Amino acid sequence: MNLANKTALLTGPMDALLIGVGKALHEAGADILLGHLPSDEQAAIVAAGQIGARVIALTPDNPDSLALQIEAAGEIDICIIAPHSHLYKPFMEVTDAEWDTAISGNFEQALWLSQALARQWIKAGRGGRIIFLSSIAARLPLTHLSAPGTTLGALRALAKMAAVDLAPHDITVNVIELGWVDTPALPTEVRSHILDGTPTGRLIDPAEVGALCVFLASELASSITGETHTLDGGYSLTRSAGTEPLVRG
Amino acid sequence: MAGRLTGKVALVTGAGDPRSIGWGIAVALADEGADVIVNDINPAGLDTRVADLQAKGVRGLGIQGNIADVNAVEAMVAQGVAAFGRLDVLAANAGVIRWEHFLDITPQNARLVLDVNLKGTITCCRAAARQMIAQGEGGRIIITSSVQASMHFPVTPVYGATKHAMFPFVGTLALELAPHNITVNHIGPGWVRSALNDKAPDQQTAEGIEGNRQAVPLKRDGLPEEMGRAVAYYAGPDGAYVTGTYLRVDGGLGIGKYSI
Ligand SMILES: NC(=O)c1ccc[n+]([C@@H]2O[C@H](COP(=O)([O-])OP(=O)(O)OC[C@H]3O[C@@H](n4cnc5c(N)ncnc54)[C@H](O)[C@@H]3O)[C@@H](O)[C@H]2O)c1
Repeated sequence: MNLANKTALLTGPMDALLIGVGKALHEAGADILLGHLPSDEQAAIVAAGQIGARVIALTPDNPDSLALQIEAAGEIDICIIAPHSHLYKPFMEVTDAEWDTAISGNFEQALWLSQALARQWIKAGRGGRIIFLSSIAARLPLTHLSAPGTTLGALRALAKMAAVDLAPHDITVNVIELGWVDTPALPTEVRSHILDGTPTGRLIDPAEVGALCVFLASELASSITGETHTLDGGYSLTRSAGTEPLVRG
Repeated sequence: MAGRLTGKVALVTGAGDPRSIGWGIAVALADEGADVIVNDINPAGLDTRVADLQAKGVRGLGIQGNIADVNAVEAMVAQGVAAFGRLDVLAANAGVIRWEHFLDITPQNARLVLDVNLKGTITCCRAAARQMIAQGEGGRIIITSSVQASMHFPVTPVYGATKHAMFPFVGTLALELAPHNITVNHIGPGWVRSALNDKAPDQQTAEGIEGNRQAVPLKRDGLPEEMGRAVAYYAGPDGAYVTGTYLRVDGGLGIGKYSI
């Protein structure tokens, strides 16, 4: 799988997942552009240093300026968008502001960024690849994950409809729904609970997410679109609903 | 004659228009004896709806309010409880639609659809659940999603996204509210000739309307009261053990189209 001469724009929280995915795409030959929120600039610069990437500030909550930023960014072939809100809280305690953050950070920003890119790709007469990173909470009702589950559920449907409209333009849209990814952010006390429910007996390595992204971004995957790819070590097969890992500790 | 919902108080959002699904729900619940609070952002029809409810021998109350406004939702539940003493059933039904393919989605329309269908529905559920939990006698929440929760129409991507999102939302809520004996379910209407679809691009010609009908295996539109009776099932004693489910009421439109 060769992504030489391709540029991939990666956005989302500047965490181990995004860095791992960037690394995999970079190793496959792609140039990496880390699109960060203005508030994430420092983290983006640090992350970019680890994978030889360039950084670019994006304001995906403002579609008008976003379109200009995308145009100024130069040629982009691949876009990978990770969600911002993984809020873990009982539904009755999720505040209005937290819902706003989840709707914006998990759905709207992904909508405006993918739409801006698709419009530009179509104008330039070139194809492209859009990959939304998501969570199995979008499909499986997981206790205390109403905000990410609901907003990423919305994203999963949007991806299907966008895929239909963008396919004639050689643009594919795919979703990767992740189980538990091994990042430093995962509290140690929940690890064993999660591992108990994961048939493979281990957490997901960001490099594995990167490998799937590389494949979906490659020529070999040009017919795969509108699909939701589960990458969870089988977690959703055993602990499908009602799991409360953080509560049970 | 006592109905299966006699003594229960129901709140139905988006029920001011006589052609609306919300009104069909209000009628079905009132026919089972429930006292019904009807909400709508548009005050125009509320007085008549209340008179129609009272003519059925139940108590009716109209509350104008925008479900996308958190304070208005809290005030609505408070006003309803102040008037009727309790809240047993929420039909979170109000919704809006806009037709824009993915490439044409505008921030203004996306905002409206997300604010009402997603945020508004969520806010109503939270406000009603808080009251039901405080009462300590269980409750029923029934959301009107759509056949679009399970089959996608690229002409309405944001609308469809808000409707599909009801699957994880309802599932999680059903799990979290089960300890309070509050059930949470959603119904998926197919084609109902309410005002919602008056501006639908394919409803502008007789052929378009007929084409939509022919796409339905049962070859007809759904009636608001048919949606209402599905809600009445979930709200009544027969639905007591049913939670976290989705019921398409669509003449078969969604058969074999579970593609999301
Ligand atoms: N008509 C259909 O074919 C169909 C199919 C599937 C699902 N639905 C869903 O059914 C529900 C009811 O739709 P309908 O067909 O009766 O539509 P409708 O437009 O006839 O009725 C909706 C009512 O909600 C009110 N409303 C709109 N925004 C509101 C807000 N912010 N706060 C309070 N009230 C508001 C409107 O004034 C209107 O009276 C919606 O959620 C809709 O998405 C409709």
